[in-house]
Amino acid sequence: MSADRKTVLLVDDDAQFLEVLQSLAQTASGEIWNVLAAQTTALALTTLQTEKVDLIVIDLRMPVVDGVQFLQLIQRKYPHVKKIILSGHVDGSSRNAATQAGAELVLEKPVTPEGFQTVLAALGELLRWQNEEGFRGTLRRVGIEDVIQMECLSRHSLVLEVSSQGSRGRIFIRKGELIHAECGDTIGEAALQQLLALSGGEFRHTAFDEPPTRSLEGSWEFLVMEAARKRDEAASMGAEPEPLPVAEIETTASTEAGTQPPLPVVTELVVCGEDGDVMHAWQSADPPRRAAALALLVECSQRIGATVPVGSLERVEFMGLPERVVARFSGQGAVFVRGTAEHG
Amino acid sequence: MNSSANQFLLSWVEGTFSLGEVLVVGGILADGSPFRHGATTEFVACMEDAWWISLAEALDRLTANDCDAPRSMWVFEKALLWIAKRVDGAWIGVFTPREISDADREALHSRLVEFIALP
Repeated sequence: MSADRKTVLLVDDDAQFLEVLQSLAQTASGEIWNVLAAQTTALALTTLQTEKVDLIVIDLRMPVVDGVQFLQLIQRKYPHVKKIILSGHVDGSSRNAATQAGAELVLEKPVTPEGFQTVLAALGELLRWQNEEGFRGTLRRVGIEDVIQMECLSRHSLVLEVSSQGSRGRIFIRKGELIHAECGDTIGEAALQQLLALSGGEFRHTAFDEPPTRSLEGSWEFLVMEAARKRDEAASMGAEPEPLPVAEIETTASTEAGTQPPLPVVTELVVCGEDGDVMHAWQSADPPRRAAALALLVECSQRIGATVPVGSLERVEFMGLPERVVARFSGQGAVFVRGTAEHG
Repeated sequence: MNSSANQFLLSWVEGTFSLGEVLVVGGILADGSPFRHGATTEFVACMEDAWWISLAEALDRLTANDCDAPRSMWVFEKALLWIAKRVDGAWIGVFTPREISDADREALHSRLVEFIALP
């Protein structure tokens, strides 16, 4: 098994949701992740005892032991496992309870393909950022805004050192709050706006240190949005249009983050139920045709399985195409996914 | 594809795949005739021409449903089925154990690409 392979454990009492998320995560990671699923916390605990799990994704509302209680339990036993809470109803109190119990991220349970894409991207980011105390490495085509968002959502404390074209600055984040920014002699919102308007450069995470002063107030969402608005405003007034800030950081340490390829982008998705009906389709020109193809694959695999001992069909990967196409199967349905070509 | 081309392709299959490494190899030539090469005891059903003809029909139906690619890998619980299709209509199916090393996987992949490019 490749050293890059990460194990993700999904815990949810909703079997259908679990199935879809497991299929999508396995597919979207290009089979790099080993995605396990547990429908109960008891099964999840058994899995944690037998597998080296890197990331666990927990449904907040589960019977017997709810997500927060389960989080508290595994935080004590498995503090190094990254933890994400998924919930259909994220409010302030549940978010606080989950983060205090050890969750790195609290995300809305996805109900659309875009939502699933966002959750998968978050999973990927969290796996990439694992074991990165004092990390310094390469993050190509990741905007500073993205990094700030991830760190704030994760309620981390750190200092982002940013440099580009002679400009140098620092952004201080304390427990997920933007508290100070400085760029040259400028501090506060103006400094943050200057740093977020950079078209490229380098940034580096360093351990949190108290800033000389607190120059930023308000939510990080507002501060980042305001910076984006100012940048757009400047562009519309004839200033040189700035591309989105993109960080190009040199790799100076061999870290797991540097070895993880980007997640492919899903361009078509069709989910079929046990009876073959299309349950969900996204960007598919002809969902019934996809459903028919999935049914044919199942039929064909059953004919093969009836004569030779191969067991049931789990997935079919179509190769040699401009895009990556995967069909996944389980007793509860099938998923057809088309996406950007596989890595490498 | 004429008979000498068929013979060349069959020779290539026999020289390329050895039992023990794969569970069974078979397929359909460009003229529609089936071929197979060795089979472990458990895959003895694949020694019947009808088995490959039946699979060919299923693959044709998939193609008609816009579900087609030069190569595909079917992941079953206990085995993998690798399929490669040539532009002349010939195709090959190779069953291997489910767990194979990365090196074996790469080697198999190269052979299937070679099959597609054979004259």
